[in-house]
This record gives sequence, C-alpha cells and structure tokens, in this order.
Amino acid sequence: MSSRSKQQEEARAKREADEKNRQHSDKRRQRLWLLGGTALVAVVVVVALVLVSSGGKSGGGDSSKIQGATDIEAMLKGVPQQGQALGETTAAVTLVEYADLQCPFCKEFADNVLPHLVQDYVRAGKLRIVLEPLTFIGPDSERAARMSLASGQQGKLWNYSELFYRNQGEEKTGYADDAFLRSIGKAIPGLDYNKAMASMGDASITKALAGAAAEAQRAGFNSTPSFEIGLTGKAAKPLSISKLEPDQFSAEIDKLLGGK
Amino acid sequence: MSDSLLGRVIAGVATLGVAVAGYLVYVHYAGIAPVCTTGGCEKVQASAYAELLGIPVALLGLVGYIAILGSLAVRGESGRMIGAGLALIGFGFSAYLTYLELFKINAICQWCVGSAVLMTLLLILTWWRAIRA
Repeated sequence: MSSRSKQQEEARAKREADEKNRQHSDKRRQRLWLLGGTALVAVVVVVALVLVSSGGKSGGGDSSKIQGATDIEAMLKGVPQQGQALGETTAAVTLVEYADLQCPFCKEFADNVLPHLVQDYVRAGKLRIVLEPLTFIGPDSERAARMSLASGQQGKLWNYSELFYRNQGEEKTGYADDAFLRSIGKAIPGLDYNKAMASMGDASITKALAGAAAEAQRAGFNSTPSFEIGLTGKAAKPLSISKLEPDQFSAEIDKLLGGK
Repeated sequence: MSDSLLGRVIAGVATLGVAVAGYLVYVHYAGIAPVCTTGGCEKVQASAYAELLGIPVALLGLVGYIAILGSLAVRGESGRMIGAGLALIGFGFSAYLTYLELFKINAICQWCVGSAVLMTLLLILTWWRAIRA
C-alpha cells in the first residue's frame, strides 16, 4: 500500500514537474515569438527611417529648377557692387564674410541675415559687405566660388552667390557642374553667363581665391561663415556671433556707426 | 544581476543618452558649433543628413532615449519588449548614421559616436533583460 501510494505520489510529482516545464517552455517560446515580432517591427522602422533619410538627396540643385531668382533680384536691385563688395564705397562700416558656397550655415546667413542687413544698412549707404569665398569643403566650392568671382567682374557676384545659396545642393555630391553653374547664371538678369563661365579660370580669380584663403588664415578662421567688421578703411576685427540672426550683426554695426 | 539593478543600469545609460542628444539638439537650434575634438562635428551637424523630414536627427535620438527611459516604467513583458524594440530601432539608425559619417559626410562627430556607443549598450542591456526574464 505504502509502496503504491509512493508510486502515485511520484507520478503526480512527475506530472506536475512536466506541466511546469511545459508551461515554462511555452512561456519561453511565446516570449521568443514576441521578441522576434518586436525585432521585425524595429527592423521595418529602421528601414523606413533610412529610406526617408536617403530619399531626395540625389545631389540637389536641379539645373532646370532654379528658385528664388526674383527674390534675389529684388533684394539687390539698385545696390552698387564692385567685385567682391556690395554697397557704397563710402559706407562707414565694412563687414567681411568668409564663406564657402557649399556650406549650409553660410546659406543660413544668406537666407536669414543678409536680406535684413541689405535692407537696413546697405541700402542706407551705411554698410558695405565683402565676400571672401573659401573653398575648403571640396571641388564644388571652388567651382562655385570661381563662377561667383567671374560674375563679380560684371558687378553681379552677390546676385550669383545668393542665388547659388537658394539652390544649394548637398555637400560634396558634385552637383555644381557646368550645367548647374550655367543655369544659375542664366537666371540672373543682365549677367553674360557664357562670358562668366569662360572667365572662371582667370589668373585674377585664382589670385582672389588665394587671397581669401590667406586672409582667413591670418584671421585664424577655421569654420564658415566667419566675419570681420570694422570702420571702412580701418583695421577690421573678428566678429564673434553665437547665432546667425540679424540682431547679432546689427548690434555691432550700430555700435560702430555710433548714431551716424 | 537582478532585474531591478539591470533596469537601473539601463536608466543610467539612457540618461547619458538624453544628455548627449539634448546637447546636440541645443546646438542645432542655437545655430552654434558643438564643442568638438574630432573636428568634424560641425560638418556632420550641418550636413543634409542632420535632419529627417525637417526634424533634427538629434531630436529623434533624444525622443528615443526618453522613450527607452519611459519603457522602464511599464511593468512586465510589454515594458521589456517596448524597451528592446526601441533600442533596436535606435541601434539600427545609429549604425546607418555612423555609416553616413564614415562614407558619405567623411567627418566624424564625437557626440554622434558617443550616442552610437550608448545605443549599442542599450541594445545589449534591453535584449538581455527581455530574453532572460
């Protein structure tokens, strides 16, 4: 009897242990399925993020869709330009901008700050802005800078550089090819773009680029855009800004103008 | 390691992630260059890949780290699964961003690498937590 009861007890214990094991392994299997599902969803999300991120970055600056030509023309219409300078030669204050046409922060300055400075100070004859084009990002930078300087020979450097920023493509993708540079030039009224294209390799332009790089090095600038500001004809000092906003510039310009 | 200790380690790593991503979000909106010893931070932050549909990727990272922290507050299996899923998404996207830094942008940003390392740690920790539970 006792042996039979012991056997029954053992059998029950075994059944219970089996059941527990089965439940445990069921739970484990369920968890693995759940983890597999979680992983699948996560992978789908990552693929979607990657597709969105890489989409629409085929180089930018579609040559057939130059944008902003009318805005730029309106902003600069009637403002005198001489070579790399924008504004009256008699303006009390000169701001020098060191910029790479491929650089997105330089585009930010062009889009958000320059229009205010032109409207409030350059048109009033108080400020002159000089562009020193740098080419550290890559070959597109140099080609764009050369074409801007070549447009400067026709008094249109700022029209060119500003319209270039409006249509800036992704850095280092080679988008600034001849067709792109020409299409920007074509959208600028009064610019002989073929002549400008032909002048891109001029020795004077090579010299201007080397001059800009040397000036940036002298000032210790290693990022773009960087700025120097001072009274026209006097030594300029680096302008340190924490944000690319008009106030940061107007504060310093007003200080230099001293109520003029 | 007990489940609660593992949870605390995950919380610690995710908090560091919040700090790194938060800093990058701040410099993005302030328009300033991040403190950088690798020399490539500004270039990476300024590249066309720094935003996804107009949203800074640093902000996506910040949301991700906060969500992982939030998943720790969800009890049971669901919380562990959510944490593991989020960490896998974060890890996958970080891997893609690191690939972009190395081969497309050609610049390394120490903050982004730091975030990628933290996401990798979170992936290991959250999956360990989910599998062994």
